[in-house]
Amino acid sequence: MDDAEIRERLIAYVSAEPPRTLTADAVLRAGRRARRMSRLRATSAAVILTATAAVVPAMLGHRAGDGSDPTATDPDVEPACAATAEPPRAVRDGDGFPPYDGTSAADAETDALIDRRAALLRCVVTELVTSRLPGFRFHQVGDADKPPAQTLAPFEFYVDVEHHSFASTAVVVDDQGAVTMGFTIGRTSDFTSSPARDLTCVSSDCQRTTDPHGWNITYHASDSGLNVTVDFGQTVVQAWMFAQDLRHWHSQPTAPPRAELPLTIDQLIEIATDPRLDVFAQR
Amino acid sequence: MGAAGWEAEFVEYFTAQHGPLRRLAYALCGDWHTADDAVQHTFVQLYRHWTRVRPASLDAYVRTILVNAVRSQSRRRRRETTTADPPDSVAATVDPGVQVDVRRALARLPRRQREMVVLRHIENLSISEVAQVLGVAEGTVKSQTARGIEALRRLLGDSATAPAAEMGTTWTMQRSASG
Repeated sequence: MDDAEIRERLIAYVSAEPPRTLTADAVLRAGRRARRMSRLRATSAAVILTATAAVVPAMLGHRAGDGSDPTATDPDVEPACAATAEPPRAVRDGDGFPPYDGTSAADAETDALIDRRAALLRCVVTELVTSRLPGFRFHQVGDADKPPAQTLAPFEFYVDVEHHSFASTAVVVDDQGAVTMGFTIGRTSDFTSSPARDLTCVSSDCQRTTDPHGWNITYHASDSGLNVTVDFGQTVVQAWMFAQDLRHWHSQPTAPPRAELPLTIDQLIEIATDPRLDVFAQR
Repeated sequence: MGAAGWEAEFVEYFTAQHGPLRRLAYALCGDWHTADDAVQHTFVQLYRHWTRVRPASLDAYVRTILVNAVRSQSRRRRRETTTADPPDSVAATVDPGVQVDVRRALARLPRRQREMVVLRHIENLSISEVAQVLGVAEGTVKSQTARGIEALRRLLGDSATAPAAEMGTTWTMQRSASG
């Protein structure tokens, strides 16, 4: 048997394939999920680091204002995010995070629900933050100098299927410098075992209050860091902002830290208590 | 280029390469289930890094991911099963006896030799391309491919007299030995 015949038999051997089951759609879904999870891991590290950095200075700091009176959602801007809201229908197993491997039709439905919630959060948070910070620029941590094709929206939310949560971090910049701002939004039942729980009220000046709606709010503030946690009942929203020099650990040029935070603690509480962030509420 | 633009390019690449990569994976591992898992893993990895892969090195990059995925998937399946996989459904245009002969012969090659034979003679890659995909010296590719072809010639020549009862167990045993 010569080499040509061997090659012919090898090629014939692989040519009789069974029907293909893998589709481009399934690969795209699994790829997007893998991308989100990958970036979530990186972002989670930033969240833990930055939240810690915000809490520790708060132990020596002071609250920027008293008697918070969180306002309700601005009805004028709410319709802007309506198109991204999930339809009012029952969700498989009630929470939208059933077992998932990224390939089945049921997974596609789950994926769509998760994506809708992430899109809603991105829309609402972008609207809430940018309306309070006109003239500022926003980008993802690490995205400052990437070409547009490799960057994501500033408040793109990443999904942690395992811990049933969404997270987003953005750098907020103006001529006076940069601050970092982030959100973690998860189910209350899972939040009790989350590492973030330990960061919510560790300083001596940590404050607790109750919103007129009955929502529990924990917050602390200093000149360099703000941290708010709102328990809506079924959803926990954490929002934070702090000024920290990111230039070294991201190894890329960005603005120096801002001397003064551009939001007050009351404004951050207003943002964190927007009812549209209560994405795990049973409606 | 926006996200939609590069995703369209990715889908185009998937459409063109899914079949060839699936056949390559099957040639490397000997069963279509493992091949499909490895191909899916490969494309998911490729999706994650698509915007950072230079077009000139794309095919080599993908083949390297696939070879590693097949090794990984084969190890995983070996832990999960101790018997030969059931025969896959194949098109009726190829003599099943020939399929089994080639499958068994490939399974008897040491893993590295099998990878080189498959890349060189089924994928029709050059010596240097095979060396690049597997991360070995070109001299190693030359010597191991020659030995692999010689072994296949002997095994396929012997196959006409091989006992039929041997066919069901050989692949699993060889996979365990060659991993």
